[in-house]
Amino acid sequence: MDVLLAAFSLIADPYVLLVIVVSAGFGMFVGAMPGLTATMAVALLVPITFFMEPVPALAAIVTATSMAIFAGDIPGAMLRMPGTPASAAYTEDSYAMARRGQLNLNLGTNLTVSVFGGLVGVAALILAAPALAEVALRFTAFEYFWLATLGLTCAIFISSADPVRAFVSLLLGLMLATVGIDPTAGVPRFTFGSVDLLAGIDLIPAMIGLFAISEIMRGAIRMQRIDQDMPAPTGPVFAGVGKVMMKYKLNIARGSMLGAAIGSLPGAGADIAAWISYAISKRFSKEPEKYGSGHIEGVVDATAANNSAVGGAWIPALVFGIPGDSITAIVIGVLYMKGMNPGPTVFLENPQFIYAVFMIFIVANLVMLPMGWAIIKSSRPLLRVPRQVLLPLILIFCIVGSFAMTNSIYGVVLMLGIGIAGWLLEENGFPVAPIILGLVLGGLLERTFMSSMLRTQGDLLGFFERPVAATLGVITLLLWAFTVIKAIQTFRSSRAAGGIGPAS
Amino acid sequence: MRFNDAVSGAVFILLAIALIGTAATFPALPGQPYGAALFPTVIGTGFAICGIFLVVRGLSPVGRRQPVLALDPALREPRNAISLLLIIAAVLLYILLADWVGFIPLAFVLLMGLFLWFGVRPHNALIIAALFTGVTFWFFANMLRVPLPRGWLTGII
Repeated sequence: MDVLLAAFSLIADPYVLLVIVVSAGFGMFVGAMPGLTATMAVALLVPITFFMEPVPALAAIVTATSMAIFAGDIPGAMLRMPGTPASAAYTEDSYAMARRGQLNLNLGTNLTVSVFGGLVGVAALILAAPALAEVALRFTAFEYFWLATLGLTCAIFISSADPVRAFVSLLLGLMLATVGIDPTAGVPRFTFGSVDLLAGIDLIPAMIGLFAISEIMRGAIRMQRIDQDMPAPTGPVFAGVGKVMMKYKLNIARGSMLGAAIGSLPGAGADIAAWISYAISKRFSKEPEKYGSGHIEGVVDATAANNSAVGGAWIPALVFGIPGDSITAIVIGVLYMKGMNPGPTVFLENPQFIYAVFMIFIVANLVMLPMGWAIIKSSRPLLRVPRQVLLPLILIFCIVGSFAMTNSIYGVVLMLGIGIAGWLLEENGFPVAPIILGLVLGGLLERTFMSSMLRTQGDLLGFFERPVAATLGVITLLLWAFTVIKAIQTFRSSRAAGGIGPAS
Repeated sequence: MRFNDAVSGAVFILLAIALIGTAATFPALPGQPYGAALFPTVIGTGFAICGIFLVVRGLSPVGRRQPVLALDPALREPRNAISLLLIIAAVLLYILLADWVGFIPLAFVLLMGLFLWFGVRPHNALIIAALFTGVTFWFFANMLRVPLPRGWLTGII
C-alpha cells in the first residue's frame, strides 16, 4: 500500500499533470498529421524529457504515444491518409464511412474503443509485468542472451514480408551497436579516432535521423497542398457509439487482448497489431464482404488492438529491457539515461516508479476521452496546417533536439548520416524498426554472450543447460529454422512465378 | 530511389569485407578464444550471406526486371529533387556554420530559405521564422540550458 501511495504522490504533482496535458496535445497533433508518426513524436520529445525527473519524463512519453496512436485515425477518416502507420489497416473503412456521412460515428467509436483498448493494454501490463519480473529475477546471462536473440528473431520473423531485408536491417543495427569501447576487453572499435564515437552511437540522434529526418526527406519530395474537401465533424461525436460498442463488444475484447499480446512481442508494435486483428476480425466476421467498404466491425477490432499494443509493448521493456516496438526501444534508452536500468530489479528497488508508470498509463487513457473529443472538433483547421510550414519547423527542431542530446554538433552529424541512410534503406524496401532493435539490444546481446562464454569456457552447449535458457533457446532456433525455410520458399516461388516482378 | 537487389547486395558484401577486415586487427584477449573481434566478424558474415542472397536474387530472371537504379517518379521532377537536396543542405549548413554564425541567425535564415522555396507567402514566412527561432532558442537555451551556439550574437543575448 505504501508503494501505491508513494507512486500516487509522484504523479499527483501538478507539474506532472501539466506535462501529461501538454504532451497529450503534442501527441494528438503529431499523430493527426499524416506523415508524422507516433515514434517520431517520442523521438522528438526525448530531448525535452532529458531534462526532467524520471516520472514526468515517462509521463510525457506514455501520454504522447497513446494519443498519437488514436489521433492517427482522424486523417484516415477525413483524408484517406492514415496519420500513423498503426491506422493504415482500416483507413479505407473509415474514409468510406466519412463519405457516407458517418464521420462522427466513426471517430467517436474510434476514440471510445481506443480508450477501452488502451486500458486493457494497461491491465495486461499491470498483471503480467510484476509476475514476469519475479521469474526474471532468477535469470542469468544465459537467459538474457536467449531473450535478446528471441527478441531480435521476432523482429525479423514478424515484421517483414522479406526476412532477408529485415535481417540486413537488424545486422546494420547490431553493427552500429559495436561502435565504441567493446564490453569485454575495452578495445575501441570502429571509432576512426573520434572521441565522440568512443561512447558509441547515441540512440536518440539515431532515432531522430531514422524516424524524423528520413520522413522529412520523403515529405519534401511529395509536397502537395491538402485542399481536398473534408467532411465536417459537426454535431455530437458520441451519438450512436454506445450501440456500436454493445453490438461489437466481443470484437472489442478480442482486439484489445490480441493487441496487448502482439504488442508484448518484441519487434511487433501497434501497426502490426492493427493489421493482424483486422485480418482476424474479417476472418471470423459474419459479413466479411463488407470489409473495406465502410464497415465498422473491422475498425473496432483494429483500433482497440493498436491502442492496447501500446501498453503491451512496455511488458518486455520494463521486465527484461527488451523493447516491444520502436517506441519502447526509445523508452529503454530513456530509462538508462535516468539511471533506472530496466530489468526485474527495478521492480524490487524502485517499485514506486513502476506503479507510477501504471498510473500514468491509466490517467493518459482517461485524458484521451476529452482531449480526443477536442481534437476531433478542431480537426478541420488542424489538418489544413500546411506541410510547407511544418516540415522546415520540424527540421530545425530535429537539429536542436539532436544537439541537445550530445551537447555538441556530433549529434547533428549522426542524425543527418543515419537519416540519409534510413531514407535510402526505406526506399529500397529495408524496414527501419529492426535497426533500432539491433542498436538497443546489440550491447546486451554481446555482453551476455561473452560473460556466458567465460562461464562455460567456450562450450556452446552450456547455453542449453538451464531449463529456462534451454526452452528459450529451442524456441529461438525453431523460429530461425522456420524463417530460413520461409525465405527459401519465397525465393523459389519468386523464381517459379517468373511473370510477377518484385513488389516495389 | 530503388536499386536492383544485386547492387544493394554488392554494397553489403563490401561492408562485410570492411567489417571483417577491420575486426581482424582487434587485439585478442590473452587466454580467451573469443574477444572484441567475434561480434563484428559474426555480423560481417551475416552481411556477406545476405549480400550474396540479394545478388543472386537481383541477377535472377525476375530480379533483372528491376533496373540498376529506378528513380521515384516524384524525384524526376527537378523541383522535388531540389527540395530533397535543400533539406540535406540545410542540415549540412547548420553543421558547418553553427559555431561561427550562431543558432539564431542561422536557424532564421534556413527557415526563411526553406519557407520561400516551398512557396510560403513572404510575410507569413518572416513572422513564423522569427517567432519559431526565438521561442526555440528561449526554450532550449534558457529553460533547458542547452548550450546552443550564440555565434555573432555572443555578448548580446
